[in-house]
Amino acid sequence: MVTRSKHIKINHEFIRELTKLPECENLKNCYQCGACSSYCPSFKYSKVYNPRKIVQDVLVGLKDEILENTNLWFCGVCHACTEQCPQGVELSEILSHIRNLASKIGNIPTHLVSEVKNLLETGQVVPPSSAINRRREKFGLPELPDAPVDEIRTLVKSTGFEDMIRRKIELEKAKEREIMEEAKARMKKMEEKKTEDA
Amino acid sequence: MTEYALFLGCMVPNRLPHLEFSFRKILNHLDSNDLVHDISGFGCCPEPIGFPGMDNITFMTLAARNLTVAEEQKLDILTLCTGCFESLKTASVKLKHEPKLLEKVNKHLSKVGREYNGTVEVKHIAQFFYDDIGFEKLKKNVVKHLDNIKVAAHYGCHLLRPSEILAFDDPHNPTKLDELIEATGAKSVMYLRRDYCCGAGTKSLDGNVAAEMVMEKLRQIARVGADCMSVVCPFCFLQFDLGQEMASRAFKDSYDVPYQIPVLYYTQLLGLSFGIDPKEFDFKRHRIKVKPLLEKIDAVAVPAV
Ligand code: SF4
Ligand code: SF4
Repeated sequence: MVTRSKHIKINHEFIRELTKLPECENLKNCYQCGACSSYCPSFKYSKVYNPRKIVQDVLVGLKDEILENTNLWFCGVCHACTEQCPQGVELSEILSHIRNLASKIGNIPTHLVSEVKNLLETGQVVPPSSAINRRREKFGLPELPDAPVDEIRTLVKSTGFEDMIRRKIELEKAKEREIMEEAKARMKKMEEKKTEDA
Repeated sequence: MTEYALFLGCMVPNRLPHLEFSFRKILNHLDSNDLVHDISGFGCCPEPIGFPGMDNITFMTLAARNLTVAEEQKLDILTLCTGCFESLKTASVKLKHEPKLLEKVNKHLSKVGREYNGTVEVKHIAQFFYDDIGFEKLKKNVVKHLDNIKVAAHYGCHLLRPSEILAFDDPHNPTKLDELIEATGAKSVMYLRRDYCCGAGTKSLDGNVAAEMVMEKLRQIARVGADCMSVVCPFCFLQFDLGQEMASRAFKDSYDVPYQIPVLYYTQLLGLSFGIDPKEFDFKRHRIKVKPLLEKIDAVAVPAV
């Protein structure tokens, strides 16, 4: 007998919301053939990431399960799925949009948060280094102009991106605090038990 | 002739300056410096894997900002990295065809006193050599036919896909990079999984998954007896050079490792056929030794007549 966890919530609006967007409207054409997954390198090697299954879950309406799943970020954005889909589903775009929604609720991997921090500090994701600059000189390469950090900061503020990342960082800190508190409480209990036993 | 602003990106100038050097060296050698300009004002492209996934409108806005920098100077953009190419080209194509998106992006750009008018074209250097420089000029400069070496071309995802937007080559059966490689006299060999990803996009999340992708490519490339690989992206370069060493270590029990397949950025390969002294390219920086390849080339390379 198939039993269903009572925690699964079906959201019938999710597919409607998504297909309203021009980049996601062809989502309904998916007939679950699995060509996307069979060409997806992340599916092949991660064993936990499956683009066809994500579409299936969207069609069924498992909004929360999808958006909370950190494996979403296994997509390497190689666009093989989009190129291979016989139904013209622009899957890599759709998956990217789904990650946009996931990001809004704080599902962003930590390496990307660091990437953003680099960007806001230096204007680049891979910042310059003095050792490399010396090597550039040896090669006779031109000096690098300063990156436009101020403009970038203004723009990410304007789009609301900075706020989103700040919320994510705060969420992370809160989680860390919670773990610390729990650990402390456990320690305390153990100490108490020890003195009791003694 | 179209003139370009050189978009260096972050990985090439800040981590792999020897790749940048090889491009500039070739440009100079071809007497084409006046086609490519260094201008200031560019920021992060931004990278095409994480950023559009976190927030598409921020991605578009930051990319469009770069387009305005070139637009001000009435230049098109030339990139050394396929990642920068995908980001900037995607933005340029979409902003040209989606007026509502352009309006949204311009509203943000106005906060820094900018506006994008949709006039900038974006090209990757592979296309630049293919279209702008052309085969006649390339072949005229080949003084050392690399006849005796077999090269495995790795195009990279972000040069080919999504083909509807990037429009570089046939996504299933591309030939342009092979043709460019063969201009040096070398043979570009076919192998399975040519269109496979280098794995750079998953490296930060799970190094093992990325290493598996590297190994799969290397296994196929080794099977057809290629003497080296040729790439056109700094991220692919790092995956196959440093990544080859690391993956060989990680999978030492399960594959015929270690592989020793040298990885050359396209303009390095081109430079060898132009007779430029290999010492200039600082191949010592490569993790997989290039020396055996150079020796093989010198053993029988026939001077072009
Ligand atoms: S390839 Fe297209 S139709 Fe087939 S499962 Fe994937 S998205 Fe659906
Ligand atoms: S774009 Fe993402 S989901 Fe599609 S094939 Fe590539 S890694 Fe898989």
